[in-house]
Amino acid sequence: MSARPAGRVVVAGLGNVWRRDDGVGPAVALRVAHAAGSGVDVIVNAGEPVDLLDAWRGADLAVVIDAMRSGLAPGAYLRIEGDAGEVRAVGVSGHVYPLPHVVDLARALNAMPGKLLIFAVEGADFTAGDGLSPEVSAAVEGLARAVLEEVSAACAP
Amino acid sequence: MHVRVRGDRVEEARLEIYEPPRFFEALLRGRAYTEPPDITSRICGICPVAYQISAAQAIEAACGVAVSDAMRTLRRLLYCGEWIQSHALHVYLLHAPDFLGVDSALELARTAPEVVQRGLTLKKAGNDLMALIGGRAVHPVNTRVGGFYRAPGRADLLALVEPLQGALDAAEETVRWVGGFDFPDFTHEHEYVALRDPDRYAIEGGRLVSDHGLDIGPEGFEERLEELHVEHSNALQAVLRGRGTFMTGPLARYSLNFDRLSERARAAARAAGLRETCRNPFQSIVVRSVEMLYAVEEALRIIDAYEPPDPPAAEVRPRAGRGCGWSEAPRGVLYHRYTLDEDGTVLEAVITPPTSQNQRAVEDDLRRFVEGHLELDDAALTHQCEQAIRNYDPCISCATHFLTLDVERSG
Repeated sequence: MSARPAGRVVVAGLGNVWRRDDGVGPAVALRVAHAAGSGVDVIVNAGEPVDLLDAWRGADLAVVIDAMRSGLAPGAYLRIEGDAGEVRAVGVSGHVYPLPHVVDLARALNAMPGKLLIFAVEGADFTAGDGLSPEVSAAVEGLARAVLEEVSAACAP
Repeated sequence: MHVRVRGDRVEEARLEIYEPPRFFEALLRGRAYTEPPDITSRICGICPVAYQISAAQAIEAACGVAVSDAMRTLRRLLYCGEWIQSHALHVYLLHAPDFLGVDSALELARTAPEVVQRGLTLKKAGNDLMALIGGRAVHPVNTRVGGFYRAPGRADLLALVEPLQGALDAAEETVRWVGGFDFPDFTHEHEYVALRDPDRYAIEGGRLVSDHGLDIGPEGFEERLEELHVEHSNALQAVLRGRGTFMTGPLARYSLNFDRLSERARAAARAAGLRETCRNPFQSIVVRSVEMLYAVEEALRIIDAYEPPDPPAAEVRPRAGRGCGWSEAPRGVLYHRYTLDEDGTVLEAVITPPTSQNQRAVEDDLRRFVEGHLELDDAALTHQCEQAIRNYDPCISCATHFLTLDVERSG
């Protein structure tokens, strides 16, 4: 990825930590928050992904980490650049707008960040309860490193 | 939804809800008296404040504690945030697309982005109020029995004045906008039931009144209202004993409290074509918009005069007792009752949400609505019924994206 001018960077972890692997986004975001320092806005969004529209407003780079269920091996992830078209929501929750819909909405409202990266992580267990499955838990460090590399590249002069 | 039609008559319309019961009332037994506000707020992701405040007030009543006016006012301000975000969600993302012939808010955003942006601005104003006072916008963590863990400072709240002033204009524009929609010619005659406050539009408390003479305090609720199991649904239904079906929620609240609205909200309502009483459920989108305008105004009024309650929570010592509390959730009256033992352990909990109270009225409206539209094929009728259901409740509105209409026609 090419270096980008230093600018505002937002990292958002989406998901509900009480639905096991759905909490992988928050888990990665917290690692990133610990390592990235104060120059990066790190957000944990457990409620409404549509709030991302305000969170990433004016950002040069937004990195979003969310769980998915696509048939890949648990813990595997996709890095999706700019366009959520490769990942479709398989259902609409009664309470939240899924991320692909939020991206579509942001495009319609001309509210996209300068660059959007999505890390979609395959989950194994979305039942009630806390704690990630072993496979997803093992992937968290690597994911956090991958996100931090993107952030460093974006912040490079 | 199951509809049985014979000739040009709808013999039966049943809203069959198979969502499993969640047993909140049972799991509260044995918990400490400090816990129900946090536990019950998880019942709903859209109106957690309603659960927190109704639960806290019921427990305070059981423990013989009356909170100060300042505390009640801060609760009202938090509640304004919830009304604003819930009504903005319902009006813009769930309900308006029906009237504009588009499938979703996303489609609306493609043709009228400024409209959806206005809705999101309003929703954000509500979320920001909830986050500042409640600690976060969904399932707030700063509320407790007796009040709050921490009261926001005056300077904290003043930072919200500018965005709320922007929201005020957006809310007024919303009333004008939805007032211009075309509404089906449809009215009902259900008994309207809502809280009424002597001085202001009822939100966090009041007496329960109706347009048929009901006028009770929270202790009289279970004496006058009965929850029933019905064979076709896992959701309880509610009736007024000896009187039957009734309706709570924005239409009832507005119609019973029009004189308690602000002058600006009343003027906006009239300009949008509402009278002092509204009996067309399709116009609930206008009523919600009027209430959203009122809630923004009320938030600004409260912030202008705000002094933090000190201490941030009243001391509530446990004692054996029984207490009831209620408030006006965005979708209607939410009642809680708790029985505690002497060390504050919950022995019994009763929660009556507005969705179950309205279930019969919704079924009755749908039956009559379908009867007037039997010329439509099943697909078109399903679409219109989804629109009709979205008149009532954001939770049911979401659920109706999955509505299955089963029409049994004969004769």
